[in-house]
Amino acid sequence: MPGMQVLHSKYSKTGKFTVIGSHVQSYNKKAVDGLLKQSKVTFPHFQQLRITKAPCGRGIPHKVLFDHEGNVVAEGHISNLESEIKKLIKLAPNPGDFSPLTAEVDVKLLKREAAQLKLGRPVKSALANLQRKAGGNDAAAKEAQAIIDAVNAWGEKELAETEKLKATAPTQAYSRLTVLNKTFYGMPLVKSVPAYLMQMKKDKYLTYLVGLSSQFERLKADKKITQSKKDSLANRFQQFIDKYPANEALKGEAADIIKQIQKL
Amino acid sequence: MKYFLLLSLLFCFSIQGADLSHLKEIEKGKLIYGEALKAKDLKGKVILLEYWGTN
Repeated sequence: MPGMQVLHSKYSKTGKFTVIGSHVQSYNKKAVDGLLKQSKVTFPHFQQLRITKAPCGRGIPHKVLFDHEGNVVAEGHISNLESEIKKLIKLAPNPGDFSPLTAEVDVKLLKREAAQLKLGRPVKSALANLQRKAGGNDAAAKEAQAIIDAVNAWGEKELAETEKLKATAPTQAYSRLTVLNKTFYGMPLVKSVPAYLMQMKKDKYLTYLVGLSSQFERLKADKKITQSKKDSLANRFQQFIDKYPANEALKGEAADIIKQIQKL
Repeated sequence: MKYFLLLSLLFCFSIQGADLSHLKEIEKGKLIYGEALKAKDLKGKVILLEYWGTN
């Protein structure tokens, strides 16, 4: 188990790798939790999870290594495990290559069309193109319809979630609505969004906190996060809380971000 | 002709797509420790699964 945790800690940062545990004996919560906590494990564990195409062998522990396309590359006792993982990570696509808009669809035939559906880029014309393809009865038509449905469902869900955030996390709502508006630009889904964004922009404390939050996003992406960088940014959020007469929701968001900075 | 056959072969492979059935099985699994995983979060990732026991 400690070896698995080392691999998880080392390579999950790439966004292309994860470790999963499956406990396959009778479950004793106290014993299992105790062992995992003692080993300081951070990856998830399931009870009796059995993967059909890679069942557990006769002896445990039994490892299974999947590539990014779901192929079983190695199983059982895997020699040179770390070098195999490194090779597979190089072949895996970058996390940004996957669009959340189409994540629910297993795209096989219309990869080129689906690749145009990126978050923050207008999807209207790409969806119109897919709508024309969806007219037929073949597999491509069914896939086109599935992609259209997934994109629309994602948009509706995102809009509903941002509605909830308006009261408690206004800067998050603002940032997500901005992206939603760009993505579904000119479509009925976002009809009321531009007016709302204009209204939000008038709140100077909100726009200031949005700017600070984008600095936090940059810090998260920084490969060399130092304590002084964390302290410096956390101080700016603290000053926002202490000195600006912003509303409680904004101050609450700033306080949450300070906690997140400390965890980096 | 050879070139055409090669292209046809490549096309066949490219439309086969990935077998991501394991991701749905993971999503439906009974989580006992750590954060839940969605199939969409695992899509495109290299996964190392370990079957293990406490006894």
